[in-house]
Amino acid sequence: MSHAIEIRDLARTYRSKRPPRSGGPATVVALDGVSLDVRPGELFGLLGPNGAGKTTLIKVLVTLLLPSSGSARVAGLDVVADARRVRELITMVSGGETSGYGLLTVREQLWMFAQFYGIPGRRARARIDELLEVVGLGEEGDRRVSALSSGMRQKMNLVRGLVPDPEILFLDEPTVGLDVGAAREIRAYIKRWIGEKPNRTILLTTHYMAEADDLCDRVAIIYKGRIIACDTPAALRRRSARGSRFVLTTDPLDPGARLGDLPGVVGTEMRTADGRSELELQLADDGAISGVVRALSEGDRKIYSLQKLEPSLEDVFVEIVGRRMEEADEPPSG
Amino acid sequence: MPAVGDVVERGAPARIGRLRRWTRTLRVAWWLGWQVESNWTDPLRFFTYAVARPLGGALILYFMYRVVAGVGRGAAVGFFVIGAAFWPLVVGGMFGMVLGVIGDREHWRTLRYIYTAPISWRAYLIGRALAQQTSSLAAVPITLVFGIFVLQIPISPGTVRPALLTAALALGIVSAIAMGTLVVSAALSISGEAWRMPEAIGAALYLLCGVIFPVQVLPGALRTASEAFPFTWWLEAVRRALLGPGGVRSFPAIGDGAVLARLALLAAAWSVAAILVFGFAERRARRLGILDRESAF
Ligand SMILES: Nc1ncnc2c1ncn2[C@@H]1O[C@H](COP(=O)(O)OP(=O)(O)O)[C@@H](O)[C@H]1O
Ligand SMILES: [Mg+2]
Repeated sequence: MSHAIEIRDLARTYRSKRPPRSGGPATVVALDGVSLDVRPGELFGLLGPNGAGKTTLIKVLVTLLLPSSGSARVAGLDVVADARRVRELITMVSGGETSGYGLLTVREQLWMFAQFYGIPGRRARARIDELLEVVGLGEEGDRRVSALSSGMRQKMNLVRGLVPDPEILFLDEPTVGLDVGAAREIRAYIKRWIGEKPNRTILLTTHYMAEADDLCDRVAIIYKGRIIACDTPAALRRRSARGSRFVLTTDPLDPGARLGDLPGVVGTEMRTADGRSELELQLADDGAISGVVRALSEGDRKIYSLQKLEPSLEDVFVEIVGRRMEEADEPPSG
Repeated sequence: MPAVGDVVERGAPARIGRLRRWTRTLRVAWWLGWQVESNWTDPLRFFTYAVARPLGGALILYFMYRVVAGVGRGAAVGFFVIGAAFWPLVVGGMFGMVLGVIGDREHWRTLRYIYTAPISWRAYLIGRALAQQTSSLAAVPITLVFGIFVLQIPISPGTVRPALLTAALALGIVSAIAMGTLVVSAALSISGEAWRMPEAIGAALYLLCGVIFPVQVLPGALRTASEAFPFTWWLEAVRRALLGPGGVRSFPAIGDGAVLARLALLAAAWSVAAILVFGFAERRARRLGILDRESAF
């Protein structure tokens, strides 16, 4: 098996939720010819705005949904023809939902799922206790699921996905809706988990740029059901051909200041507030910053801070799609 | 290599592994169904739903019969007390299955995790149905004891035939699960409205299958329909197994063996139909992407 996940020309359409009579189309294209390979051991990220098709792709891979065309293999097994065997090797965790049998205790709920994966009782209990401890739910094991906060439920849900020790773990927006602290803990644990054994593979979806950048070995950017870029975060950032960018704060400049005329300066943007000007500079290359600094000091302006802006995945997205990712979100359908 | 050993079944011979997994799923789902059931049934509520309801139904009928037909006790009362005592098994079977799909899908939001676990989803749903039927079954002796001692229905050690009763009960449980499977197949295609289906279908079958009156009193077409449902024969067999030859019969001309044979045949036929329809509904739901769709309440 050379790939943990192998996706070829995968397409999926839905019947439109809004009836065509109201003016919309009869079908929604959620995936439009996706091809991807994820290697064993990789933490692979699928980054895209809401409505891009991330959940649809995961649903096909975890055997919840049949593809309209194309094929997908998980651990070398076809997700349609070998769905049963695929299920033995994977688990899935979705964020942003309060899932769980509210009337069971946390331990009972996890024990039940462990049974479904055939894990012997004693080993299941030991592993559940260990994992609850790790995600900080050690004290909550005997509480009812319904009594947990949504952050705790999300962590419990992650434990449910980890107890069977899957070869391939699917995480659909695992930190969505969590407070910063809980999200950080979950990210830290995800990193730790994949590092513990060499052949663990994770496919994670997110619409947080920073999450993809921070966690993933490779990232595919998905938009309107198509993969528009796929590489390591560093390589994607480098690819952004927007030259180099700096921000600096200085004494107030008159709106007429002609910094844009300096050699190597491609564009400037200025905001003035609290007696300081913040200047965002788009330069042809890093070296052009010295001309700007010289011009400011010749004009007797102090420089309070100077920072180079590293290109982000956001820049890559803007470059390809032409707008920022939040602006590309599909409005929630009603 | 601990990762491989962790899931024990991976090395086991496939067929034994599958059978063991099937029974384990059944057991765990039964346990879950029982938790769901006993959650909202603290003892008082259990009593209200599982005992007082069939008992109350039987009592109402008792007084109606007394006033309208002047039948006070004995054989005719035995007819509908047994009907009222056992009928909850049918509704319970359907209801347990529907809870397994709609409850998991819309209330607990666990359906996608149950569905993608390496289990037989059918075994899981059957386990959920059996859990409901267990609580229905637990109430049967209470209703019967009440019937025997208070309403003086003629059940005695001499009239009870355990073998016939056991066979009939088993086939009735299977039939109820088959009916539940059909309801659940509909629940996969239509939305949350399927909640009400067990009650609605249960009510229709209640009138059709001779629960409280012999099916001879039905008009011709309905009577024919009635004979196509296993529950009609099931109740007939259960009554014969409990009341002995003195009881009122829906099919006086047909012998016990033939009643049981028809029940077995219909249970099998409905089960096969249920398996086919369910397979179709499941594939269709996966194809349309509505398997884990939550209906907008
Ligand atoms: N069951 C469904 N029926 C109709 N349209 C759907 C359904 N599920 C998703 N969609 C549509 O498919 C597209 C992709 O959705 P989804 O895969 O959920 O995106 P993401 O997870 O990236 O937010 C969206 O336009 C969404 O509205
Ligand atoms: Mg999504």
